[in-house]
Amino acid sequence: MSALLFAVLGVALPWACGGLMLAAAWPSAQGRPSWQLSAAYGFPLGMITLVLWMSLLAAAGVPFSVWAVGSAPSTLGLLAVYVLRTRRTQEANADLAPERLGWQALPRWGQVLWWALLALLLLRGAQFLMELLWRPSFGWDAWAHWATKAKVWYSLGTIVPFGSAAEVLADTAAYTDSNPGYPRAIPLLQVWMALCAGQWDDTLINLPWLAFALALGLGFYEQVRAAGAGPLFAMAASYALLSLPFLGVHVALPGYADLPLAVFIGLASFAFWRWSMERRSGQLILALFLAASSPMIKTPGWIWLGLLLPALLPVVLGVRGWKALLGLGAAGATALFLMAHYHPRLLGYELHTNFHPVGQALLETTLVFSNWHLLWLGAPLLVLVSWRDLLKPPVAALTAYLGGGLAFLLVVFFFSNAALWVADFSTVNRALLHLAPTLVFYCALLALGLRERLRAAPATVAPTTAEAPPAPQ
Amino acid sequence: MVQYSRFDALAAFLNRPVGSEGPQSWKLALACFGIALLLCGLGFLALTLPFPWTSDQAVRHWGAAEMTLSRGVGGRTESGLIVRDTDATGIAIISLAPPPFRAQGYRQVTWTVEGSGPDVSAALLWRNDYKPAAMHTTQMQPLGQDRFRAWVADDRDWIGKVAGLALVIKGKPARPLRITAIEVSPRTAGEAIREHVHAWFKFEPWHGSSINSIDARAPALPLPPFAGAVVLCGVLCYAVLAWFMRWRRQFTVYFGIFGLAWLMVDGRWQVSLIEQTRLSAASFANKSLDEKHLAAEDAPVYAFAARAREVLPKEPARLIVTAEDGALRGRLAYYLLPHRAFYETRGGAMPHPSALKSGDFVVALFRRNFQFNPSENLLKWDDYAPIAAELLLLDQGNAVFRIK
Repeated sequence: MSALLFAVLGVALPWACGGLMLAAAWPSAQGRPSWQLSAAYGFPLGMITLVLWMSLLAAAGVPFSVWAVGSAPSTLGLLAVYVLRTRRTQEANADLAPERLGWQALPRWGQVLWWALLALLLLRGAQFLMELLWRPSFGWDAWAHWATKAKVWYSLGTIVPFGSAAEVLADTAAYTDSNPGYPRAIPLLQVWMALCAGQWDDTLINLPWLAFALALGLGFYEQVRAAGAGPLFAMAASYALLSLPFLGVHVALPGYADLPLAVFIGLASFAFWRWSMERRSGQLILALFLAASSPMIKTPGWIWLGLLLPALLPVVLGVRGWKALLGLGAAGATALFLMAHYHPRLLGYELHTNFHPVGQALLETTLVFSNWHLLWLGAPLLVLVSWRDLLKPPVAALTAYLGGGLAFLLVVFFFSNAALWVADFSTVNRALLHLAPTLVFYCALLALGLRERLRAAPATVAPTTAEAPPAPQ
Repeated sequence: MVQYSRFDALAAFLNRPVGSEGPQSWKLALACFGIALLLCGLGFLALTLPFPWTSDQAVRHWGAAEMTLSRGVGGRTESGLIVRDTDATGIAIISLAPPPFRAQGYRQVTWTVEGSGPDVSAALLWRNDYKPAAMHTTQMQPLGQDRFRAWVADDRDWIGKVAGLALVIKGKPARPLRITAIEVSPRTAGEAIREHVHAWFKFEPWHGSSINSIDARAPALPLPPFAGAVVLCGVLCYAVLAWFMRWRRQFTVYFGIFGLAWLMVDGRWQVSLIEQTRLSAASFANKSLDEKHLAAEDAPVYAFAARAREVLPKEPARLIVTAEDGALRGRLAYYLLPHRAFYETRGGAMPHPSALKSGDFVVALFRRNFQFNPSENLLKWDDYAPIAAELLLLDQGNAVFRIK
């Protein structure tokens, strides 16, 4: 029980540190961020702080221990508290409003529905927590790519390099696993969890996966509220996101890097969208920081980071930005097509010009199987009915980002050796998961736009005697 | 004479200005969702089930106790009739002599055959009182991995009184088949609906591929596309209704229809999760970490790794981890960390003996082509020359060696 308690504290420390640092570092002119924003973005920020600090410790030859590793987040957290207490916020903005959750403003039935949805989410979360605490690391990648490094680094108290199996045989590397070149953030987070638990525990090291889902839900709710959604709509949309079965599976069977990457990319894209609307530097810095950190989680993070930067163009330049983006896209596609003749490897995928007909597998996994509920039906429908608004604010930034992301995935699925992993359903859903939070957020924005259009539809006209149709003769 | 004035009145009615928003949005959403659910259900039945949809005939059901294995290799157990293999001609026959019953009104025959796969096919045989000497046959369709089904209503020989039924299995089953039941049914609408709902709620526990895709195959009528059809139909219903009644369209109705369909698919997922939690609790709850590992699917690997660690040095040593299966190899290596395990999850050939040096360890789990000569302390694998080694642990065919 004490191991569990310390593991919970192990999650809480970087989370609190990240939240406090965010609140303290937030530009004064923009007021303080709401507690939901701090709590949501605090966990990934705290986690990155922690793993950077662990890398520094390893580079300096300081062995890992709870005190050595925990000292930096604790100190930074305390420093942030000091700054927050001494700094005078110049002006309060809407973010300061404590009632951002907003359920109190709902009518009675709305409150019941709001709490019912939250209760269902809490039930789901409790089930995932049980699974997580009961079942030792289960998924293949969890123990073949990620926890391997964590277990060694925890046991040795420092970071040692991993090499190929042949290098181990030749004694030029000490350790190997299925992907020795994978980034170190996730294993380091697991090292920290093991340090807190006091032993290598194949269940407690995975506790942060639930925290990732919580942070995602909080951030999503907060940003959808900021988009003008009422509390009930925001809760329903958050429910839609967190109830996605494939996202849930990655919490219940933790240890893969795909959910953390989806959370980093999702929170980054929400902040990016908010910056595109409000032009407050705090949100842009958040977006860029999280997107720039995502390659530390998993290598495809480079792609999602690379796609965020061009998505700035329509926001900054408007129509000219779209033209520039179109040009960039065309040039990129041409370059890719020409390069594909030479079968280059891109993040481990070998591109070529042969078309792989994996459309049926893609349709099955998105529309027929139980992975995504109705997301891949609802999203195209919303895009279809909102097509006039796709290139305009408030969704222009995300249209560009998601358009690029989905185009990239389709190229990889249909024109690379990844087609095999689409056909056997081994990679396709995990790749889609990276963009799923952003897609749900985008759908929420489109639905809000649709609501506004319907509200603006012809006003109610009460029939008058003069306008009444003639009575039948 | 055509009453033009009626058309004028209709046109005027349809062209009248938009009026109120109609009834409360939640009532409209619920009504449209309900209508759409009904329409889609009926539509699916109309497409897949010929009339009549009702019947007075009762479903006829027989268990394994009444069956006989006429041809093939196998026998009867308490849980069913087991077919281990087909005979020399490549078939197995399971027969049944039910009390004669009238074929008319019965349209479908289903055999429950657990463990079947693409390696076997099946046909139905029956005998009737019109031609008692003749044996009639029709091909059966596999239904998942546990049933074969034949639609017999359209077969011209499915007449008179049926006095004998048999199942013919063709091919070589990769694993033993368990035949537990046969059902002859009139296939009513109620039966079809019950079957689909049952398929929707069929529980499948976590497995190795769950992390990649929750399903690997869908039932005949998968729930998500059905719910999707309900959404489209409900939205259409509301749009037509709002246009006809000149109601101002409400976002909350569209949102409500979609939300109800979402809750429908999510409800199914929630039920599955509850069942999974119950299962996981039975396996893992209130256990120590060691006990959890020993309750997991890879318990033998964990147990062997624990015994191997006892004979390995405390300080990390270089190990050659070998096993036939890539997953077992990787899993064993993981449990032996922080020892410096050499292994490859893909491929998995043992290295040449010259690559090993004195002080290395070899850990072998379920590995073929591995021989140890204890009198000479020589270890040999595959087609390589033997090398000097010391046996440290032998555990149910799994072993740990130290290279001398």
